[in-house]
Amino acid sequence: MKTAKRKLTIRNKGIAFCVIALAFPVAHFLFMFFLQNGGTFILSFQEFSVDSGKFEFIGWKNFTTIFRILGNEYSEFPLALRNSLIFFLLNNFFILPISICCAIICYKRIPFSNVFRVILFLPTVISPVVLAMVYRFAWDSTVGFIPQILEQLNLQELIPVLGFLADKKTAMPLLLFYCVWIGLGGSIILLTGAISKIPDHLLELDRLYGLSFFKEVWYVILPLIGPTVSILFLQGLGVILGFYMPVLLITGGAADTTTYAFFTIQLTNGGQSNYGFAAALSLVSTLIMSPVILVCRYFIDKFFPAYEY
Amino acid sequence: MRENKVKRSKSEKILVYVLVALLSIHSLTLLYPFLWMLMNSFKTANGFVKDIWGLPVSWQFQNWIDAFELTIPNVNVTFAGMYLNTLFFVVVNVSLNMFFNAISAYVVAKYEFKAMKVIYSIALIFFVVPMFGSIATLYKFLVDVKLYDTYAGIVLISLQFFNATFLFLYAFFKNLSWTYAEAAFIDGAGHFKVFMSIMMPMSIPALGALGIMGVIGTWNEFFNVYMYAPSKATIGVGLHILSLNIRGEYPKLFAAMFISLLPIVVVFCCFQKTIMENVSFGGIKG
Repeated sequence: MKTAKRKLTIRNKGIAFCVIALAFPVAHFLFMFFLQNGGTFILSFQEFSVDSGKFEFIGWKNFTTIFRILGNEYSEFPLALRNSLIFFLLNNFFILPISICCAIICYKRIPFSNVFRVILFLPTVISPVVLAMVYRFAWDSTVGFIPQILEQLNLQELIPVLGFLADKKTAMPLLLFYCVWIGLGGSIILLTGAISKIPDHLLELDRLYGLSFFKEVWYVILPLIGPTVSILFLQGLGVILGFYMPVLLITGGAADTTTYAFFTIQLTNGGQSNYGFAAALSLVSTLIMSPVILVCRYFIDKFFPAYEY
Repeated sequence: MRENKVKRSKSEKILVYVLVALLSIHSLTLLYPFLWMLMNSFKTANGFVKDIWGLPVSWQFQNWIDAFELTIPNVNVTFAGMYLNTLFFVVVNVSLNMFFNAISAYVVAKYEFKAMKVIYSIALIFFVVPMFGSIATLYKFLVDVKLYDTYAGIVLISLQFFNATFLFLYAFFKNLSWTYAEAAFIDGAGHFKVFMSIMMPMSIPALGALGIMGVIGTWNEFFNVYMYAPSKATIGVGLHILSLNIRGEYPKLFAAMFISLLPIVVVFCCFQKTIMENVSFGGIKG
């Protein structure tokens, strides 16, 4: 009887402890969830009225505006979408495959591998602001060392009048190069870590069976690091809607380098009259991208199933 | 990395040499700009403009002290102030995130009530399904409730629960034996005392790894302060604004940049292995 009563007391106190422990995290999560999603939903049907000084219901106007500016050659929106897709393709179909190749060769214990690991990893921990600053100053027409190298080599004609990061012909290629420059190392380290977790006996079996290096890679290593590759691929999908930092920090969106996320930030900074449209844009992009990500995840998991070892 | 005792084929050797060469070039391109800025941080403003390549004629160590007085125009925040703001956000955000994620993960993992399964399922769903919240919605909310450009506003929106940190800690607590807690209950300990005195100390390795990643992430955080609290500028925001507005004082700016890097470099040197094992992203940083 005493034991049962004691167990009940512990259980009741346990419930109280659970409620107290979860109260703030659950409340915060629900608040932010409804604020961000519910608030976005409501705001997307509103527009700020200068006359009344309030947000007023305007129906589907914000959504029709999205489709209207998509076809407008003078709008930055189609350009922003195009650039976002370019960065996504760069990340998932250039950086990722090259990282996989480098990681596979790296795991075979190349010389100075420990030194490379540290250096390649640095861009992952260094502030993106600092990285962007370094890059910007390197290409700066006045004080940058790269334009000075070109001048020393009598290649001054290659230096654009407006500067490398303000000229439409060079700004976007340099942004793409920047992404490769800082993005390659982290992916290589991540994938090398995944390959190093493959048990030795599996790889020794390959050698016993006389598999060539390329067959070992295709039939053994790639399938076993599939989950890591799929995570990186899915993260890359987020680039389409979430990539803005290098644009903001390096070119400021000038020289036709704007992306979708940067376009949204500029809308918000443009004042209350843009909030409703920005919210509608976020809602539409979420509705489009969420199923895309889920479908991609489904097919990637089929193509790269997780193996237990 | 494992030792490879098997003799390499000719094609493998060629691949390895080519890769070493390419990685060496890539490493040089990563290191050289930083070394260039470091060298130039010891020059006078005129000395830098006259000669960006050579060593300083006279080493201006004062630049590294004067860097703390660099000020963002309009908001009048000095670099020293930005440092303090950053420290504030790191301490508050990381400690609140870690504590509440730990206690919620512990409760969901160890207490078998139906609601816990619902909470865990929701955490998993939102780990997979992206939530692209509207910047405008958050901006409007902070302005409406007068939390725009405040420390409280930034802390409120920076807290993140039931995310990857929660799932990681959930898995950790799930594997932790309940025997310790049962023994403590028998001795008369309460649930909170069991959590604080037994479970938290045992989870220090996990919390440590997550805490280090949290410190690095919060120290480097840019967007929230840039958008929602510009006058509470952190180092990241401040350096960006200074780099756009600075006229001539490039050596001091470079010194400020390196001062901002020092804590991260120290943390990285001390916890290199933990950081490399726990990073979970690659590709382009956007």
